[in-house]
Amino acid sequence: MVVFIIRRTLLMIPVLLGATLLSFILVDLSNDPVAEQVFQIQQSTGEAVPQSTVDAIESQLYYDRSLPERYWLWLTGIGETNGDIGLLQGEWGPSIEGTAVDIGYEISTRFWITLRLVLFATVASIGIAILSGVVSAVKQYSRVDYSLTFVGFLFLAMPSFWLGSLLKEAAVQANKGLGSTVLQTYGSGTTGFQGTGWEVFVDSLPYLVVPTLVLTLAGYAAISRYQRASMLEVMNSDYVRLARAKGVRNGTVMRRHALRTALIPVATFAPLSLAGAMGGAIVTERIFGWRGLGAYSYDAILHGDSFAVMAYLLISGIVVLIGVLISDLLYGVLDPRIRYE
Amino acid sequence: MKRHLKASAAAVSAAALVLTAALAGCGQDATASAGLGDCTTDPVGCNAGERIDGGEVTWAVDGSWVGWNTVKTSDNNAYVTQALVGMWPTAGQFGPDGKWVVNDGLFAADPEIVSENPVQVKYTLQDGANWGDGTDISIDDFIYHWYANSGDQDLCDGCTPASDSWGSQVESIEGSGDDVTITYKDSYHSAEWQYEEVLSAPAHVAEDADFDWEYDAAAMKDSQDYFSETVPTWTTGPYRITKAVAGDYVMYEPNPDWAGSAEVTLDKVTFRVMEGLDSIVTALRNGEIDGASPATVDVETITQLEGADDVSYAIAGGNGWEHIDLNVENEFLSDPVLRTAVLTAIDVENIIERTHAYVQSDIERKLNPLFRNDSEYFQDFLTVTGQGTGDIELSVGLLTDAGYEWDENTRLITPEGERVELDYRYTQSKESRVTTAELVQANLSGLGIKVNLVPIPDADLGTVLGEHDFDMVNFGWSQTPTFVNSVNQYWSSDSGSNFGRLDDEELDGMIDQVSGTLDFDEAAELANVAVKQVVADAYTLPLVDTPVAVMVSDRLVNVRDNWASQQRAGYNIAEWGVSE
Repeated sequence: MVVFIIRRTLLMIPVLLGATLLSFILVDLSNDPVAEQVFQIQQSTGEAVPQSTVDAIESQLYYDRSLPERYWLWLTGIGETNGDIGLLQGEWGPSIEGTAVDIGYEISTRFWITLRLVLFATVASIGIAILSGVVSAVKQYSRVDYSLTFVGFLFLAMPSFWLGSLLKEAAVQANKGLGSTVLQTYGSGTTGFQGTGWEVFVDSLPYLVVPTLVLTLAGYAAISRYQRASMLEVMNSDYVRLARAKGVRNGTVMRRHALRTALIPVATFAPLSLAGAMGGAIVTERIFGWRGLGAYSYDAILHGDSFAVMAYLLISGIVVLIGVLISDLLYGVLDPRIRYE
Repeated sequence: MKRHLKASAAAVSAAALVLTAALAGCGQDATASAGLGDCTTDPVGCNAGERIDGGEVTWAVDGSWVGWNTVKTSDNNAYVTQALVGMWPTAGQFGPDGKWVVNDGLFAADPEIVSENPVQVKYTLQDGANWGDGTDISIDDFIYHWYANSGDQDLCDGCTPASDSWGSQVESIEGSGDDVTITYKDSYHSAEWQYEEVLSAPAHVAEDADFDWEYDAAAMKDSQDYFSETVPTWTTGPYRITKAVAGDYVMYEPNPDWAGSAEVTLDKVTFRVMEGLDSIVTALRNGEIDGASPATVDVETITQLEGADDVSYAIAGGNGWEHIDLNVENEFLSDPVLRTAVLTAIDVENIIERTHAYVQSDIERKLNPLFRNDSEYFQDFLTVTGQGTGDIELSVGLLTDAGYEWDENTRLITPEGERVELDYRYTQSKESRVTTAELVQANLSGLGIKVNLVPIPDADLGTVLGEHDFDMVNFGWSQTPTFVNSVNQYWSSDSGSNFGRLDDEELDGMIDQVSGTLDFDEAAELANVAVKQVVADAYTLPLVDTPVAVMVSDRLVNVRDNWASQQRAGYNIAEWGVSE
């Protein structure tokens, strides 16, 4: 197992390097942050931007260097730099937003905000998915099965921005009905609130309810279909038939033999689902004003903040690769037919 | 309603006209409500009322910021300017009526010219004007601001000021007691001398943080970065910051040391970033915020506001204006006759009716690119030319006289025998610009010109304009009651913002004259002469002052929008209060 983990971890390095190179080229070619920043200043001040300022922006963002040199500096920090670039040196590169922004700090802070948001939603969606998937499979082709399938497809087909808007409106109406503002529609906590981790969590609960519901409903349907298919396959397998033939009670067959095996695909899918949600909660974060990784990447892309986009892509890549690794390991733990050597 | 609007944008022009016409009634007569109802007729005094002592206000800012030093290029934007309105040392404010009011928390009187050659301007500090930490404002603070804005690497090595148009013109700053005199270089003759910002961050705070800013240009730059990264706990305004996170929120409490005359009644004011119009309106209806003055407004927002309890709103032209520019270096548009015909064929009233009129029913076509229609300096040079009227007959006449012809497919042919084809560019995220593009395409097809609609991703607008990658383009500029810098920026042949590359020597001479007088009224007259020339050049077609909304809880008083200030509704924050 340890050898397997080491081997897979080492294999991740060239994959990540290839991904960063490709991403860097695409990000670099897709925008010109210097021109964009100059235009923003002109729009903001209503005046022409002095050439000295343009030169300083180019120098600050390393846009006075060639693309290969920029990539090399971003990766290694080896060469003539301002001391703010080079992953190997622990520097993520300068932000187009200026010296007040530390990309590394932003990424690390926002990572936890997003995790707080998607963790509950992922756990909840997996829980609901297992429940509805199993019920659907057990009651195959019944009204219950069709109803659960319909509801699942409904949420699957519903764009999350629309679902989010609907639930926000529902929250406003619920508050009106209750005569309070217990459900908050924007932000991840009370403005300026500070406290221990637990206090911050408790404070964030009114802000967590609606976005968690959106992510849960939007995310459970696909997993539910996996669970249903897996459960049906196991229920039709020989060993389940044998158990029934031997007179084992239906509940025991379902719980001990069928469900346990049918959970393997979903259990191994869970880490990937969480990893995907970490990078894919952009819409939900935007709608509900959570300043997480998704919102950060959105702003970075919008402003052409190349090094910030790269940081997001790198972190997302690492999270997905870790998710894949955990998923592979879970196969070995849950499925006795698989052994790692 | 929004669904209909989107559909109309996506459909062919004819279908769009039918759909959008059906919607026209929805937004009619919906420019204001309740407390803000009289803002059109009384922009300075609307929503006025008695304030109780105490109360808290949470105000949404519709965008974020990254640093606290608005002098720096990277930090400067409208949102941080709004968020810092409670403490920033502004020289004064233009009111909603366009009239300038000096900041009496800083200055005892309006600045005055003591010499015209070189220009010397004297400022008299208000008695007791201070930084909120026991230190009085002094001449060092003026010098610090100058160095930061100079663009001179010998004064601030590596600094990137958002603008050096003031700082680069300062020759020296001297003073004694409460009097500070700024001497400008010989090249400075701006009619806007009384509106120049002369203070930003406190010099003594930089010194306390061990920056030898006065004698070390590198230390000066480091001190600028320090002010960018450090939450400003110093203040010259009616409030002082108690807690803040860049790009997220700013919390204020009253500043007991403020030297200004207005009485502050609120206990706490919070500016909170809230992106997205829908989020703002929902939060306002949910009681999470008390108001906002976002930069955009749409029909759906108005519908929601109309149905909201205890909320007032008003919609009026904001500090941005929409226009269509032509690239005079395009092979076809280099001909002024074709440019005139193109601008004449565009029906601006029709565009307005099918876009901005949905959100502001009393909106007017903008007829002067420098001065709003309600400005005392406004003059209309456009109407007489026919530009923007959609008069195809007039356009055809102009082109026929110039030797243009039409082929068997009614395509316009130049005197050199080429078919005229133009790329029209616009940012695709703005519905109004998408519809405008389709309508312009339809207008010009009536002239036999094939127009290719080429949308611009939002992040690429600067690049497209900077690289002059358009034949026709629709975008917006911001505006204030000042105009001297604008006239230079828009149309001077050596301006980097003259994106359509208009090169008119006569116009350049006129622009030089605008920049060569100290008299504001005279400069405005000269600016209008320049505008007349630009109209004759058929270079730009103004459309409208872009509508914006202000929305406030009915419990707030003295809160109203101000198009003339970057701080928007926060311009009179000292007067804000609650009525119950």
